[in-house]
Amino acid sequence: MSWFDTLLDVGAKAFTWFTGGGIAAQLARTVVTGVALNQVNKAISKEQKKDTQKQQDQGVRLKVDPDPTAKIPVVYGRAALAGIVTDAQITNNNMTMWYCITLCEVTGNLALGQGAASQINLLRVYRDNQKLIFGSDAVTVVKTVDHSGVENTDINGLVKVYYFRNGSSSGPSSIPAYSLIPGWTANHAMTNLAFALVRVDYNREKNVTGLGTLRFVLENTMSQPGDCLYDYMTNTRYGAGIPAQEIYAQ
Amino acid sequence: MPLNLSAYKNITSNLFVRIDFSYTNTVLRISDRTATTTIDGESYIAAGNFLGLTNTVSELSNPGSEITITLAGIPNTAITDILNARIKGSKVRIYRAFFDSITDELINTSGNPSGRFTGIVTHYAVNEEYQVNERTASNTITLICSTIVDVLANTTKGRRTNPADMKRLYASDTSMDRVPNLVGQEYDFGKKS
Repeated sequence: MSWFDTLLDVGAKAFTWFTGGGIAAQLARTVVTGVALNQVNKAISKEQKKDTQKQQDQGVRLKVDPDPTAKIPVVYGRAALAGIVTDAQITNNNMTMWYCITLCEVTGNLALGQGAASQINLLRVYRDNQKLIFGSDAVTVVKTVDHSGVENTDINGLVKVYYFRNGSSSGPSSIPAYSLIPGWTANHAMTNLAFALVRVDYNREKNVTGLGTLRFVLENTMSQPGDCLYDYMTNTRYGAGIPAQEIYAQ
Repeated sequence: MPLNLSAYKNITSNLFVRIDFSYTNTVLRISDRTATTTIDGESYIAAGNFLGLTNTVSELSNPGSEITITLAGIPNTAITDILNARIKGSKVRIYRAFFDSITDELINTSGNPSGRFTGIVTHYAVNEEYQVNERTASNTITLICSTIVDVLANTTKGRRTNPADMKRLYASDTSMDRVPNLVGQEYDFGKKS
């Protein structure tokens, strides 16, 4: 008798025992049936849970609360700002939110008003204390990094940050801000303002369900104390508006 | 620059007030001297005792002080002109100059005249003195001036995130128009309609 014949013989005996009328065989059959039923129930429950989630996802209720009395800040040197939400639009069947976040005033010229225009650059953006890492388009967030250096790609493609350093036509590409955010026209010029448009695409599974707490780190090329003081003293928009000829500057 | 007068034994000092009425583009120059005097090429009218100035306090830190200029003996006929001059906001400079009391000449030394106060007129008051017997009236004008430091501290400039502030600066810019309507606005983000 070969080992295969022996194996068949053992299997046949076990089956005969399992289907027999003995108490032990009946108990064994009950246990096996119970385990099988449990597995089936679990599988059905998982599927039902998924379906229920899909059907019952009512989204999240976001409240936008801009402050009409908030003063737009002036940034010299480097500063981290949360910004002020000044517009919000929902599109794409409630799946996309657009925010306009006003950051700061555009400042005057360098070298005591005689040099090149100052420039406010965006260095970094944080969302819920996680640093945002942008893709090659400098707009789409591809991942986040926490303070320990741990990366998370859940956010990939779901958040886009368009930074405009001076008005609506100063963005990362030639596309003006009013061509991005719904409801805007060419009159939405954001004159002499540095601001950001943020697009958020809803995804509950990836835990992207809102704007989060943003922090923008900006750096103004105007950072010399004399330049800053002169700019603030002479500027008629946000400063003291003292005529330049009344200031002895050297 | 420190003023060194140790070499002079007979000294008098006088005040010179320069008020620039920018609205009418005129400059009033007066001094408490008894004769018209030229300082830095500008002629200051002698007002003598009709001009009064309060004392100022010199501090190393932000002085935040005010100074009051009193112009007395102004006839009624001149009051209308003065009131129409829109005194508020006019720039005021006050100098102190030192003279040799014997020759009545301006002492020729570095730092003379010295600046005492630079500011703007923030308030003014007119007091009438009516002479019943003579049927005449004269007036005293009191100008209350704040230093430039005070003016800077109280300057309220800047732009707030509302349509009125935006349009005050840029009439056609509608960027902030929706801000009032957004207050309390709720969005069902992710809820499929």
